[in-house]
Amino acid sequence: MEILLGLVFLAAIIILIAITINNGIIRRRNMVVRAWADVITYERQKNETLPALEKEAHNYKDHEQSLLADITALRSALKKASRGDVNTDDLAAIEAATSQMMAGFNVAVEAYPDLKMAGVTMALMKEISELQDNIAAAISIFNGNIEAFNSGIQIFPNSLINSTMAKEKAYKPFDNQEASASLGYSPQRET
Amino acid sequence: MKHAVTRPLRLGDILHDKLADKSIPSDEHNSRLKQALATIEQHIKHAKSDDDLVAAINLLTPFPVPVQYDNRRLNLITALFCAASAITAVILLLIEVETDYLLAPSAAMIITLVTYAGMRLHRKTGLSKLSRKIEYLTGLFDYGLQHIAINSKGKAREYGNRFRAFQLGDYSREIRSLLRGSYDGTDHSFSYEYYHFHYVNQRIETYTTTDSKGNVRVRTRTVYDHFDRYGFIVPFKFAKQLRISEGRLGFFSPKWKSSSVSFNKNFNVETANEFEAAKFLTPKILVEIESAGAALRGLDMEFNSLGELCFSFDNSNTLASQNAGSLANPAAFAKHISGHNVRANLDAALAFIHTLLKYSDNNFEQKQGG
Repeated sequence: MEILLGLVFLAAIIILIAITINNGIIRRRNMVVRAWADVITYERQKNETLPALEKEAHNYKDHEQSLLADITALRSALKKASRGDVNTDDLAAIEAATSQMMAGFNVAVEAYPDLKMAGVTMALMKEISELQDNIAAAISIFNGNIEAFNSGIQIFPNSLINSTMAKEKAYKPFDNQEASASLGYSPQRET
Repeated sequence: MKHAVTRPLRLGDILHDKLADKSIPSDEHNSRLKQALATIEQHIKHAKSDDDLVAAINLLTPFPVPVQYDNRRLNLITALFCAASAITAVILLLIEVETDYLLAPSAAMIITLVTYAGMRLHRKTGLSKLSRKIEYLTGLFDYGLQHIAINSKGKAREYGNRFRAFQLGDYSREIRSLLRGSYDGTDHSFSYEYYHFHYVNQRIETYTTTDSKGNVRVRTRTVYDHFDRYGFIVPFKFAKQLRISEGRLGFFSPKWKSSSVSFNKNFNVETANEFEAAKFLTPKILVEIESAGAALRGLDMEFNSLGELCFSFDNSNTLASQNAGSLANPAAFAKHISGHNVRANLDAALAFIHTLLKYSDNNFEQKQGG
C-alpha cells in the first residue's frame, strides 16, 4: 500500500513538472509571436510616413521617379508581412526595401541642400531614423525571445516534454544578410 | 686604489644618513606642509572655478615631489620606544622576574606601534582626502553643477510627497546632498537635480547569551540598517504614473509586461494606464533600460503624475573621475584640474535620460525640453 502511495505521489510530481515545462514552452512561444508582432507593427508604422515622403519626393525633381518607385516597393513589402506568422524572410525583404528607399532619399536630399534644412524634411528623416532604431531594437528583442524559446525546447528534460506534448519547432532568428555580408562573417558550426 | 673599510651597519648610521639627505628638518617640513594644507582647505571652501583650485594647489609647489609628510622623526621615536621596550623585556627575562612583569613592556610596544600606524594613516589620508575634495569640486565646475543648501529631512519629506522612491526607511529619511545642473543634448535640453538620499530601517533582533554558569538567555536589541540611494529628478512630460524597477513593486498595483523575456525577468513595471506604458516602453527604450540596468544596481524609474522623472540607483560613483590625480604631485594635479575632467558615469546617466526623451517625444511637435 505504501509503495503504491509513493508511486502515485511520484507520478503526481512528474505530471506537475511536465505541465509546468509545457506551459513554459507555450509562454515563451507566445512571447516570440508577440515580439514578432512588435517588429511588424513598427515596420508598418513606416506606412504612416510614406504619404509624407511621397509628397516630399515631388520636391526632388531629378530623383522623383526613382524615389516613388522605392516607396512603392517598400509599401508592397510591408503589405506582405503578417503579424501572426513568424517569417523572417518577409522582414528581410522589408529591411532591404527600406535601405534602398533611405539610400535614394539621402542622395536626393544631398542634391538639394536647401530642402534638407526644411523643417518637415528634417522631422521626417528623424522620424524614420527613430523608427529604424525601434525596429532594430524590436528585432534584438525578437532574437532574444527566440533564443529563450529555442533553449527552452532543446535542453533536457524540456526536449522530452516538447517531443511528447508541445511538439514545437525551433524558430530561426532574424539575420540581416546585408549586415552579415558587410562583416564578411557569419557564425558556422565546426565540421 | 683605496680600500673600502667595511664595518657592520648600525641603526644609528642608517637614521643619520637619512636625516642628512634633506636640507629641511623633519618637524619644520611637517609644520609647513600642515599649514599649507590648512590654507588650501580654506581657499577651496571659497573656490568658484578651476582657476581658484589651481591657485590653491600651487601653494604646494615649493615642496619636494612627491609631497608627503616627513616621517623620519616619527620613525626614529617609534624605533627608540620599541627598542627600549624590547631591551626592558630582555632584562626582565634575564633577571627571571615573574612573567606578569613582561606585560608592561609588551603593552608599551603595542601602544607605540598602534600610535605609529595611526599617525602614518592620518598623515596619508589627510592629503588624499583633500585631493578628493578638490576632485569633487572640479567636477561641479566642469559640469556647471550648483550645490544647493537644503533642510535634509524637510527635502526628503518634500520628495516623498512627489515620489514613492523616497518613502523608504521606517526610522529616518534625509537628503544628504543636492546638486542642480542642466544638460544640452542634440534633441532636448533639460535641467536636473542630482541627490544623495539616506534612509534607515529599524528592526528588533533576537539573540541568545550564555553566562558563566551556562544559562542561556534570549535577549532582544534594536538594529538600525542604513541605506543610500542616488539619483536624478528631471522634468519629463512624455510619460506619467509609471514605475519601472528592478525591485519588487506593490503586490496589488496594476502591472504591465513587455514583449521582451529578458526585460520582464529583470524589471517590474507598474502603471495606472497600460496604454501609456505600451506607448512609452517602445523596443528602443526597453533595450536602453536593460543596458542601464546592467550598468547600475537597483535601478528604479518613477514617472509621477506631475510630469517628473525620478531615476535612482544604488551606485555612489556618478561623479567619480576616471583619472583622479593627487596633491602628492601638485604640478600634474593642477594640470589635471585645469582641464575638463570627464565624469563618464554622469555623462552616461544624462545621455540615458536624453535618449528616453528623444524616443518618446513627437518629432513633428515644437521641442520644449523635457
